[in-house]
Parts: sequence; structure tokens; C-alpha cells
Amino acid sequence: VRRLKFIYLLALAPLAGCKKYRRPNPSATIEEPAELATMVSMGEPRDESQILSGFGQVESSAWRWTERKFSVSLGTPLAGRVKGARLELKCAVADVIAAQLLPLTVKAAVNGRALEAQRLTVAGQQTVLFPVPTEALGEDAVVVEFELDKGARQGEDAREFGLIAVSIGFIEP
Amino acid sequence: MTERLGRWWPWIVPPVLLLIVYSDGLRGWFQQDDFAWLLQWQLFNSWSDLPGLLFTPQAQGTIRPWSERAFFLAGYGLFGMDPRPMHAMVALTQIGSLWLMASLMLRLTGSRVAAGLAPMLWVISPGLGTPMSWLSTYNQILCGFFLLATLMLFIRDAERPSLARTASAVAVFLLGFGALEIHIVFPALATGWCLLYAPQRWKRTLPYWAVSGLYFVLHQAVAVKPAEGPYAMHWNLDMGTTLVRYFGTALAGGRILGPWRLPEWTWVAGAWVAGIVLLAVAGAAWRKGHRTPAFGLMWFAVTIAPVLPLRDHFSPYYVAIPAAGLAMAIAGALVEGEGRWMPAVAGVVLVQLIFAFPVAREAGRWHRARGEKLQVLFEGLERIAELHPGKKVLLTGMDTLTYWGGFFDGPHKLLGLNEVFIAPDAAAKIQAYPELGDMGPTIASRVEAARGVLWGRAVVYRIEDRALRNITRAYAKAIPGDWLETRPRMVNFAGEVAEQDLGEGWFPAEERARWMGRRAVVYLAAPGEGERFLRVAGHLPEVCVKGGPVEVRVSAGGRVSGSGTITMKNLSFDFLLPAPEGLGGRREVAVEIEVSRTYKEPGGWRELGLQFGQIGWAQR
Repeated sequence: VRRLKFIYLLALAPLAGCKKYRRPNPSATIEEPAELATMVSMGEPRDESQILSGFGQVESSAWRWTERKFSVSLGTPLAGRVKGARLELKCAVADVIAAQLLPLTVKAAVNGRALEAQRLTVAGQQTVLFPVPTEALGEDAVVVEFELDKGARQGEDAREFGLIAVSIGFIEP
Repeated sequence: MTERLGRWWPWIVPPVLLLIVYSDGLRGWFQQDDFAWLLQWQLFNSWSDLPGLLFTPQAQGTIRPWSERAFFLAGYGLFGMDPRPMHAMVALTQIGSLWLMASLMLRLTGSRVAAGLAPMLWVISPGLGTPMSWLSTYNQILCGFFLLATLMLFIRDAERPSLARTASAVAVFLLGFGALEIHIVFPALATGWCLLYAPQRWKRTLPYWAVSGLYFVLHQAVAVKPAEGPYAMHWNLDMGTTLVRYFGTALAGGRILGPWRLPEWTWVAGAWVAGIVLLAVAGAAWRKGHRTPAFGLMWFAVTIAPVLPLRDHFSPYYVAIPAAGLAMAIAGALVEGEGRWMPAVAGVVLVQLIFAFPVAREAGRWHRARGEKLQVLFEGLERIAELHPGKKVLLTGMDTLTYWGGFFDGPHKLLGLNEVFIAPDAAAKIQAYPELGDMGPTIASRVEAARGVLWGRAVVYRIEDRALRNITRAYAKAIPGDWLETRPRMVNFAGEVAEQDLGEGWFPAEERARWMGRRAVVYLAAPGEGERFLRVAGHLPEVCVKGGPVEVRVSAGGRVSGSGTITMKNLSFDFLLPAPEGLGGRREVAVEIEVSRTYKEPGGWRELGLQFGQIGWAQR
């Protein structure tokens, strides 16, 4: 019996360090100083510092209401200085205020340089794209401002509602 | 106390020596094939998957359910990326083998000196260096254990037969086939023991011969038998040369380590002298009626025999099990040989200590150092996956040892990172070994790297001694503008695919794949140096092939490249078609793919052709 107990103990010895949740080792990489993201997601806590004005609280960890005017800061993609870029606004026109808003003109400016305005005519999710010339992307960081030609009100709420914003950033032209 | 220690030292000292000699190897991290075995875990979704995972023949037709499949499944399942418990299992198994060997020697010689010395000589043999350090070679350790355990049980059963003893011997014998194919030689070992010690009992080996014969037939049916390459079998006189080479390696290490100030021929001379002395002493002992040296040499010859036809795949770790025979032969010669032979046998031990033992120890150190590099890489990638989810990772500063020691086997797939590549300008520092694999798919093309980094979809890290350093910004600033103007040499649909590289015929991207219609075009750069094939790989759901095989025709640059057929047997297809001649120097090559039949989605409008994973040039 003693011999058997010994064998069981030997067999179970490896289980002493049973699998635990493995957290990545923070010192396994050496990171560059933080820089501004070229794309900000409304639900991403890391991007919060780049959301400047005109946004409501984050909803469902994914989107925010905008006001009639709203702005973010963005890092500029290195390739943008050579080939230009497109400013992408992923958003939705909420059904409940679509009648008040549509048709809707969205203006955008990068560091004060106005981009070609875009017109929205339908409700629901959509991606609005603004061509951005290389000259607007000369700095490491830019302020991007949006302006809608109208806002909407809901019931007793004093706030002025615009779009439901999901993400804003630069993509390839 | 002293008396008790004197009785038990053959069971205490060799295991302690084992732990000391392989203290480095037993602390090694995962490397090379280990990652392929660890990745099995991703195929283990329910218990019904287990039989297939354990018993389906894999590389070279091997079926090693205990030593490879179960070992890694259980190891990863219980302990994740911590190799220490698995090393503990390796050490425990080998300690079990050392105890079995001590018991066997005590039974054969009646000497405690031989019982203690034989396992110690086995411990210092160069054959154990790799299996004690690299988890993928646990099959050698476990097979040695099963052979010794079966032989001990067989001898017990042969000496005092009983149903329980026969059953236990047969059960362990059958289980041994799950460790390594070499276990097939057990009947020869048992017959050898019978002929040397109990000739009248040879008939008891017949059932074992029958089982090994059946296993041979079954294994031949599933084994891959390549006509060329390292695993090609050469049944000719070269086997004799290979035998001598393995014999010398087991005795004297097989090489001179770099720091030694000895010429290369010294180990060869040492091996020849030691080998001749050992054979002479075994002969002399035989004439005096002592059989143990002959038994040890028989063990060596029988257990090395299965690898002798592998002329072009000489691996020192193949002597792990045969070296046990040499250890028994030397220990037997020391206690059974005549006094005048003692200095000669002591000389053999000295040769082992001078030449073989350092090689065994160095193998452990080398594997530990290689493992440390891979641990730095893996932990860095783990952190990158957390910091930059969804981004492509480009690596610089990788050396040849790290690349072939594990990166090539895709450790990042364990982290769910499918897009980890060597940066295009960093590949030149890695030595290519075409016989080990095609480096092409692991190297990012210039255009992929430029697009990824400059548009913020990729991060670049340099491998340093203790960590990976993020150099994305500096790398981006150094990218030449013309990198953006070229086409990729490989389009990987698992990642972000630039729309401008796709011509007509593609449907919008889905997660990790993209469908084409009946005909589609993709634009690639011209094939690079040595890229003689066009790889077309992807997957078709079963429903698309139910109506019959799908023919795929591919042309590149307007010239026919080749065709392939997709049936129920290759739903995950991977065609390597010859690259048409004369494409070099072109700025871009239009690759056109056409299928013979499409599948119409129920309730949808799409006519689906193929679902792609990769299209691009390949070396092999």
C-alpha cells in the first residue's frame, strides 16, 4: 500500500502547477511613446482622450450621440503625406429623428481646411467618406471638425441630436 | 543507515545524476515541433474529437498517441504554456527507466555495482541529451521505458509463469506501441534474452512476434514511404556504415565541441578504440560463460536496427534507447570480465566521460538557450496581441536559430495571431534551409509591409535579448516610397486585402476569407528568385462539391499555369502549380482563376466559385 501511495504521489506531482489564466508579461515588449491613433472608435477607452467636443456619453460600449458640431483629434497616417487619404465617418441616422434630419449635409474640416461636403438621404447605418488632400496631412496630428446643417430634438430633452457616431479615422484613398 | 544506502544506491544515485546532468535541458522552453503538437489543442473541441486526435496517422505516417498526442494535449490542457510539468513527466519516466534498468542488471548479474553503474553510464550517453531537453522527443524516453518494462515483465513471466504475469507483460507490450514504432523490436529483445539466458523458453516469444508482425503490416499500410529526401529508406550496405557511425556516436559523442582544443579525429579514434575493446571484452566474457556484455550489445543492435535504413537522416538522439544497451554491456564487462580486462573497460568508461558526457550536457544547454529565445519571442507576441489586437505584426532582428527553432512552426497561432511575418528586409539575415521548408509564406512582401505600416494596420518589432522593441515609427519613416507602388507576391485573404490588387470576379470580404464567382483575377508582383510555383489554397464547404468534383484552371500573365480538382477528399485545397516561364521582370502579373462549376446560395443571388485563403508565388 505504501508503494502504491508513493506511485500515486509521483503521478500527481505535475498537477501541482495546474493551468492558470495567463496574463501577458508587460515587460515582454518595449513600446514607443504613445502617439495619436489615426482611427478612433467611440467605444474604445484608449481613444477617449482624442474625442474633443460635441459627443454624448458612450452607449453600449460602442457608439455616441453627436451634437450638430463635433470634433476629434487624429494622428495622420504616414502614407497620407504621399498619397492623400480619405476621412471615414462610420455612423447612423437614427430612425426616430430621421424625419427631422434628412436630407442632411455633413461638412468636415481637417486643421481648418474644409473638405468636400457630403449629403445623407437615408436613415440607418452608413459610412461617409471625405477625400483628404496630402496638404491637409502634413502635421503629425490634426483636429477634425464636423458640422451638420441641422440638428434634431427628442421630446422634452433640451439637447440637440445629430448622428450616432461609431468611429472616425483616416483610411487609404 | 549506511547499510541501507549501500543496498539502495543503484536506485538513488542514477536518478540524482540524471537531474544534475540535465538540469539545463529540463528547464528548456517549447521549441520546433512542440508548437505543432500544442496547436492540436485547437482541434480538440469535444471529447468526440479525441479518438481522431490520438490515433489518426500524422507526419511520416506515425501514430504515437501517448508520447506525442496525449502528452501535449494533456500538458497544454492542464498547464498551458508552462513546459515545467511536461519536463517533470519526462524526468519521471526516465527515472522509471533507470530503476527498471537497475533491476534488470541486478537480475542478470547479481551485482549491485552493475545495477548502479549501468544506469549511470546511460545517463551520460549523448543519446539522452536531446530527449531529456526537447519535449517533442519524449517518444524516445517513453519507448525506452516501455521496452524495459515489458522485458522485465516478460522475464518474470518466463521464469515463474502465471496468467497474471502473462497478462501484465502482454498489456504493457501492447501499450508500448503507442509510444514509438521502434517498440516493434521487443520480440527480438525477448528472443535475445531467451537465447542467452533461458533457451528452452523461446516459444514464449511467439505471441509477441505475431503482434509485432501484425503491427508491421498495419503500419506499412499508413506509413509514408518517400523515395527521396531525408526519410527515404536505403536497404543496402550503407546500413553497415550507419551502424558503425551510431555505435561510435553512442560511445564517444559523435563530435568535438567548439570550445575544446582537440582535433576532430580524436573522438573518432576514441570511439574505435573503445568499440574494439568492448567487443573484445564481451567475447572474453562470453567464453567464460558471462552473457551480460553480449546481452547489452544485442540490445544496441536490435534497437538501432529500425533507423539504419535512414541513411540520410542521422540523428544523435536515435541512440537514446540503444545507448542503454551499451551501458549494460560496459557495466556487465566491468563486473563479469576478468581482472586483466578491467583497465581496458575502465578506459572505455573514460572515453565516455571525456567525449560523450560533455556532448550530452551540451545538448541540454543548447536546447535551453534556444528555448529562451523562443520564450522571449512568444511572450512578446502575447503582449503584442493584447496591445495591438487585429494588427499585422512584422518582425526584424530574428536569427536563424530562432527562426528554424520555432518561429517557422507558427507559435503565434496559439495566440490567435495569424498575421505574423518577418519584415521584408529582415529575411536576409536568416539562413535558408530548403529541405526544412519554404520561408516564402513567412516573409512579408514589401508592398504588404508598406501598406500595413503606413496605414496603421501593422506594427513592427525588433527582437532583442530580453524583449521585443516596438520600432514601428522609425521603420515607417525608412520605407522607400516605391514599396507602395508594387504588387504583393502573395495575397493572404485571412488578413486585410487591398482592393486594388483584386480584379474582377470577387465578392465582398468575409471574415478570414473571400469568395470568387466563376472567374476571378488577382494581381501579383512577378515571382521572386527561386519561386517556381503558384500556390492556390483555400476551402470549399462540402455542399459545393456534393454535385461532383470542381475543376480549377489557373493562368498567370496570360499563360496556363495548371489545374487542380477539388473533391470531398480535399475540401481544404492547396495546389502548387508550376509558375509559367518568362514572368520575371514584369511590374505585375494578372492571375486568372476559373472553376468548372459554381454553387448558388440558397435564397441568395451569389454564384459561388471558390473560397480563398492564399494566392501567391512559392518556392516549394
